[in-house]
Amino acid sequence: MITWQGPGTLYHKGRTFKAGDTIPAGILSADRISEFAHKGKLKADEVKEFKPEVEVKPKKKSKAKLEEEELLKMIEEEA
Amino acid sequence: MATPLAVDQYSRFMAEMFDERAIIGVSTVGQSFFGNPAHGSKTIYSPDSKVVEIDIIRGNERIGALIHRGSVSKNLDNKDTQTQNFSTFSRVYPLGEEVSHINADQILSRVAGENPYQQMSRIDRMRMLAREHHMEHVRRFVRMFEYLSWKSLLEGKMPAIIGTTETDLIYDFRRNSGNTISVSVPWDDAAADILGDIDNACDKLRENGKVTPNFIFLAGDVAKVFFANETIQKMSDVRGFSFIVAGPNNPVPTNLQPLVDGGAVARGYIFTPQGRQLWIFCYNDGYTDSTGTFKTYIPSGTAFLGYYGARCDRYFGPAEVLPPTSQKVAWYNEIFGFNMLAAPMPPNVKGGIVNPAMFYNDAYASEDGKKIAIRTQTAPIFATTQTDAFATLTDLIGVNS
Repeated sequence: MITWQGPGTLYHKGRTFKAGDTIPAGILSADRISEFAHKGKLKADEVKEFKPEVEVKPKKKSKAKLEEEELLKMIEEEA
Repeated sequence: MATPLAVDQYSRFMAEMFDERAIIGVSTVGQSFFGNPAHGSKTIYSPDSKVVEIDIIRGNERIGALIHRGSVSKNLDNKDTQTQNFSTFSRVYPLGEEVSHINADQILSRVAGENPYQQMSRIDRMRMLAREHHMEHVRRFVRMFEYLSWKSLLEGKMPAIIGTTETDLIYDFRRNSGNTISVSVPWDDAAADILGDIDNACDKLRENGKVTPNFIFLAGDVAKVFFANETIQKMSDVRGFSFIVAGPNNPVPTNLQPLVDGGAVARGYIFTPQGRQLWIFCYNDGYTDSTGTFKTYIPSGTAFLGYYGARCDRYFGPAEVLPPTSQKVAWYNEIFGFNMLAAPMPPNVKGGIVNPAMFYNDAYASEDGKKIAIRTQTAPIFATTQTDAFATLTDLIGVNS
């Protein structure tokens, strides 16, 4: 069972689902279900693992920060 | 301590300084929805009160009743006509504050733009730096205004602290949840019914907000898939019907001109199958957040539509400093060269809708006389007063599609 949680509503071809409404099968694709479930907009019994094609890479550390970390590591090793 | 640089023997010409901060346009598209007198919107300055209150009467579109002649007057549908059924909204002002310092040592060095042989005095350098600090404070606050405006427009809520999830620190203008719409099929999917989704949002605006929308904003990635959509392209090509007209030959109507002045780009207009006319705008401007990441005011995958003419008020509350004395005003004027009560505004703020009365300026020196702080405060609330006149379409770009 898929339940819409919001915020807001879900619209599909003339039908509007409010928070708490059950969404019948066949309205949302498996990708869309996992996407909305990941955002907390719906609850579903079975959710395909959420895997965005574009992976969000961790932010690159600045050179100064890397140098600082290296220095701290060296100090730790020496101690 | 830095070693002073030796001056070489070449003759030189010092070109005029390039200050990028004064060049980058500061957009005001979102802010142009607020305080526009042509929309019946208000700009309210209340420098002496901590709380702002507003009474709101919600409207309806009921029709008059017909009754049998000779019958006794009765309560129709258990609902008397109530003309004074209103809500009071009471809100404490937020506080924005920017502080920066000028050191006594700093004004002994050349400032950017100073000719090395110019021999500027310390006070001249301090005035130059103070003016730059002040301008930068204002530019940052105008970007903050724009951020808050878009939060209020897109979500019907404005945070008192940026990034907070604490409901006590969020001004909720009580938008109908039906005005925030996720679509079942993303617009970058070939099966998407873009015009149907837009018409549905227009229906909600008519039903909940009692308005007919006249604009739609598309986030950059949404605009891309919108104009690439096969149905949209077919509709654009139906001669004699002009369902969708995209191109530069569309000067916007004068009532929408403030959007263009503020930095938005008009892409054309659309007649929906159900017969609404919406002007299409794109707005890709943004800001750098506290982590140094650039973000657009309209998030990816979002479209925003509504009636540009709905009442949206802006309130400017009090500063959190003691009231300035005439001596302090004179002192500020003497050391910085401009009036703290009517300070200059950066020329790169677009739209002409921001003014000095929105900011409080002051300064204070350290006890040892080696440092001076310049402070700017502001206390804005951007209230989407007629909040159901706006709708947001979200999740228009599928993550995996």
